[in-house]
Amino acid sequence: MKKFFIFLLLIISCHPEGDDNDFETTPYSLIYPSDVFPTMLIPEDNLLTQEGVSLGKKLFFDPILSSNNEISCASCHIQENSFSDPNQYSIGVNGDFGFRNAFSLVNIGWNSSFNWDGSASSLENQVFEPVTNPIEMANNWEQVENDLNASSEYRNLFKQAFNIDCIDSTHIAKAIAQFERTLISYNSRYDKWTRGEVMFTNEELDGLNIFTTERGDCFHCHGNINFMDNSFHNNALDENFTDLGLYEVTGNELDKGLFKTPTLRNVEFSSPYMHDGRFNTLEEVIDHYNSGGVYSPTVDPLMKYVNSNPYGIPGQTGLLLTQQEKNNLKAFLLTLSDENFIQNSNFQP
Amino acid sequence: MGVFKKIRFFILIIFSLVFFGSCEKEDELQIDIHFRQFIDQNELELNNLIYQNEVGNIYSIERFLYVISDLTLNLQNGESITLDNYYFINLDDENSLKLKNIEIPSPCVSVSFKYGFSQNNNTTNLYLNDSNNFHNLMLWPITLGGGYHYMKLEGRYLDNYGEQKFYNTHTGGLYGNDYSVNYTFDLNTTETYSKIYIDMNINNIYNDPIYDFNYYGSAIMSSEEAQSVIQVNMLEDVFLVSGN
Repeated sequence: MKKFFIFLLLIISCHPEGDDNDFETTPYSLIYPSDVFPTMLIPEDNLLTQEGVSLGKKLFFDPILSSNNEISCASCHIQENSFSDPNQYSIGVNGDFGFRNAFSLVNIGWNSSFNWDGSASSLENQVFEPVTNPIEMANNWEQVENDLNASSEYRNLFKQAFNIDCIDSTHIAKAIAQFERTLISYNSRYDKWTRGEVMFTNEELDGLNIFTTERGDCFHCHGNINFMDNSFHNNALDENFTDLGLYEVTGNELDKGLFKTPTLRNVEFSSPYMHDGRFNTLEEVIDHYNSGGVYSPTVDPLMKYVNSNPYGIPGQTGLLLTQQEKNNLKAFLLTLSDENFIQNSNFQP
Repeated sequence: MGVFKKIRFFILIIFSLVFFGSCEKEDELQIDIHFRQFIDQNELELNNLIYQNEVGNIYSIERFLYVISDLTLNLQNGESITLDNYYFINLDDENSLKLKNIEIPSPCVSVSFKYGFSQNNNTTNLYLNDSNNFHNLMLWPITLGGGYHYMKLEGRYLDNYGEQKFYNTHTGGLYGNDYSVNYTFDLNTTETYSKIYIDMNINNIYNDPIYDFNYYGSAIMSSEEAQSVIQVNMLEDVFLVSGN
């Protein structure tokens, strides 16, 4: 009988939603220049609140999500590296290496798909896979829910954020997504220049010209205020693919070797570069594009100098930028660095 | 009239207004607009190096995005209905190829539109929050005049040595110049159309005057000469409007 009453008590105490009458949260307003940044699209069922963002930050830094309680989201998405991983591949709970470099989370809220292969359609969705991936957190959601429900502190925080008595994976994902949407950078040297607050050097101006014209043609993929296009491209890295990228999601032969365009904001801090972290320095990246890259059947037409050059010189491929021009391009890329972002204490636990 | 009867009467009035008011007017028409792309008389086939322009370049098309603006349906009753600011046609997005169920009070007798944007409607960030990733995909750099691309037509061609090269035919308001083109196409005024087709013969973008990929090269965004030639080519025989 005793067991029956305990069972009944658990059932009653663990109902999903509490009484709505007294439930209130404090809206969280994102701050960014709305005349140059598009409105960040936020799902109606996960509007940002102070309580949700705070809870999401706590979860982001908490290794409780992993099976051995040693790895958190922040283990691989490190603030000083613009929330990416300075290691080529992140190491999971079991000592396994991943096979793609951890995506930088700066301004991630403006993306319309997530992961290098676009396999997640929302930030909320994206949270699910690393937790259960055996080479990442190697956990299961039932365990995560049990561990969080066993904590009176977390139960209280989820109650405040979502008015729920029983913590579930959906709300865990929502909280983390709320926090991730606050990871906003808009105070780089480039941003200040667009606002007329600083002057560019001649090198930076020439680098801007190379970036935003077909001299370098970076802008076609890395254009607009977030320096990415919410699209996928084969940027001539390989003739043959070990990683099929977008094809893994779509099954479309034309998507083999296509990967999501990452932002270049804070690119100074987010090495190594490319989906597999193959390039350690910006010089290597620039040299790749300057060479024209490597042909494959699905190479993007925007990589137009993969087998030619702008001047019609026989036998040469690529942009044929001079060393000074490459230096200037790098100088421009460095203007996308936002020290405020990588030191912002609001992003720290 | 007793209170109950008054209430019943007003309920009947309200019901009648809602019911009859919600019915379509007898003469209300619906029309669909289809954006179609051809190479000469043939439906476009992407990613196939089979097309040939007037100068003899063999080429393929892999990506095609373009803008139609100021789309206006001119009606038999003298009215003109201008639809949204612009339409963004992207062959990667099937939904962009049709406008469905446009209501018009009278049959359509001609169609007017602009290829590209007028300068007034082509400033940077003007479409910052528009759907279908338009701003991200079509932004034209401020260093080249700002605003948005009119068109991105990309693919491969065989050069004079038979080697495959890539071309990017990107047009826009280079250095603030207006390279847009206005069109008006008359329809058969004795017909009442339910579908209008705005067709493009892409091959004629490169014809008359001739456009040689070997001369203009892979990249033309900074070339006023190329932008002008494309504009002249767009004047005739690229768009055609018909209905059924």
